[in-house]
Amino acid sequence: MTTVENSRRQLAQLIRKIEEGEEFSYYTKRILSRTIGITGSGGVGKSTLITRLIQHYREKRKKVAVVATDPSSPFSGGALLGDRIRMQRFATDPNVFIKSVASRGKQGGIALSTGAIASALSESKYDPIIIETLGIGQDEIDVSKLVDTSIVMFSPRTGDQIQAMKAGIMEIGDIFVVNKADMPAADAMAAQLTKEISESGRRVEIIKTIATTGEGIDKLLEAIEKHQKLIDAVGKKKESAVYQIESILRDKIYCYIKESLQKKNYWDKAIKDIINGESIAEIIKQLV
Amino acid sequence: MRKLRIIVAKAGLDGHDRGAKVVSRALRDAGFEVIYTGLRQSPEQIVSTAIDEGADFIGISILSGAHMIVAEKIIRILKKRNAADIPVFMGGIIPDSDIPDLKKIGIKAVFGPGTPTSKTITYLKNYHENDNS
Ligand code: B12
Ligand SMILES: Nc1nc2c(ncn2[C@@H]2O[C@H](COP(=O)(O)OP(=O)(O)OP(=O)(O)O)[C@@H](O)[C@H]2O)c(=O)[nH]1
Ligand SMILES: [Mg+2]
Repeated sequence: MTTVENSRRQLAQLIRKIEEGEEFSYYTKRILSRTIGITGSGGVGKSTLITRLIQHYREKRKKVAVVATDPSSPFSGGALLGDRIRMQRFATDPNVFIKSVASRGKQGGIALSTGAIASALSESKYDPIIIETLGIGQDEIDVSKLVDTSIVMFSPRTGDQIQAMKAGIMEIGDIFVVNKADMPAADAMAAQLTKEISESGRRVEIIKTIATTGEGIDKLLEAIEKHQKLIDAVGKKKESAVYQIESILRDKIYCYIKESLQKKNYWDKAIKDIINGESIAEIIKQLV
Repeated sequence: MRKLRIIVAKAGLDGHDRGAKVVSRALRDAGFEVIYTGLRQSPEQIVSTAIDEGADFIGISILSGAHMIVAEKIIRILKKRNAADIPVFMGGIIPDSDIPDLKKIGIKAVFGPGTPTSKTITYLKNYHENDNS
């Protein structure tokens, strides 16, 4: 047993504690490493693309970390975390750290602990840190508040969903990727995105990739590099720390109110009253 | 309450993944966080994954007949990496006559075909409670 392995296990155990809401200081620590967020609907190729990014950063001799999110079941609280299946060839690389996290009831596409886990990884000199959101296709926009560079992925199949996504996902993203460019409708998809973006007045690069073969990845890396230079020039955004603190605060306050109401048995009574047809607005007024 | 996290892995060239998927889903529905590694994992990959993911258990699904070699390697690497406290369980096609030897190596329990998933779940939950009390 070497000390390197020992400290890796220590890091893993620290991250596990963070995940369970312990080690609170990490929830408010700044993330000094560069962070890249990848979001997009289920199956667009987020994990496959990430393996390409890992490969690139390893060739550049960087220590890379990935924090990948999958949804928790709202019924059992359990989760099936499968993002790392595609990344397993890096499982034994001492300079790659992959952590799977379950959303645990948090909305917005990443877990409450994601930012805190990233700060622990940053402290251990993993740089860059890549964050994969869950892909259920609804408002997975929180990642853009947390990371330096956020990439929104589309595939030709998501084409007809753009209208619906306009309000959320179309408003975020420093780079748009149209993945699965080997499929026929990719050009039409890219054209539609170009149109949407020019109408919105935002400046977003649109890049076509085939994550499975690596085609287009060089262009994507160029765009990431360009965007990170921009960040270097203006400094990391403050929004990231604000987001971390705000989301943890919201959670703490909710838990505090719920717990104190439960202690006084108000909670069960309120639920019973609501079931019995009492107005929810009225109950909330009474509770708070 | 602390969530229970388990690695479910398929070792070696064994392509039978039905059982692993059935067990993974059942564990998820029982409130576990299941990290499924997919097929063709080496013992090194399985151990590294368990360490990095902060797993409470390692579950190996194996129907190829290579269970003895795989078990021996995984336990050895866990010891070498100072992580022998992570308990290892196995399932799949494993002859009863091999179970005592697997336990001697350090495998905590074996769940063969037809084991109701509820039995596996109860066992894992009890194991965790007793281990931590
Ligand atoms: C379906 C099947 C296949 C399918 C697999 C489909 C798939 N994607 O899974 C196909 C047709 C592809 C296949 C191929 C082969 N098969 Co086949 N196959 C079977 C069969 C009929 C059923 C397996 C199954 O799915 N069972 C249903 C699941 C739910 O049960 P299970 O896996 O046992 O899991 C349960 C428990 O074991 C336990 N469990 C399992 N994993 C885990 C993990 C944990 C952590 C826990 C807690 C519990 C647990 O819980 C589950 C629920 O109770 C078995 C025979 C049998 N009766 O088992 C042969 C069998 C496994 N196959 C066999 C063979 C030889 C092969 C081939 C080599 C045949 C060939 N010559 O080509 C190939 C090899 C393919 C490969 N790459 O590995 C042999 C293995 C012999 C051995 N071990 O010595 C068997 C036993 C048949 C036999 N009697 O000869 N096979
Ligand atoms: N044809 C084609 N298939 C691809 C491409 N990129 C990924 N895929 C396939 O798409 C499927 C889903 O890929 P993943 O990388 O798991 O997608 P994901 O976005 O991470 O999925 P979730 O995490 O479940 O949301 C896999 O079968 C990939 O092999 C591509 O460029 N072209
Ligand atoms: Mg994925």
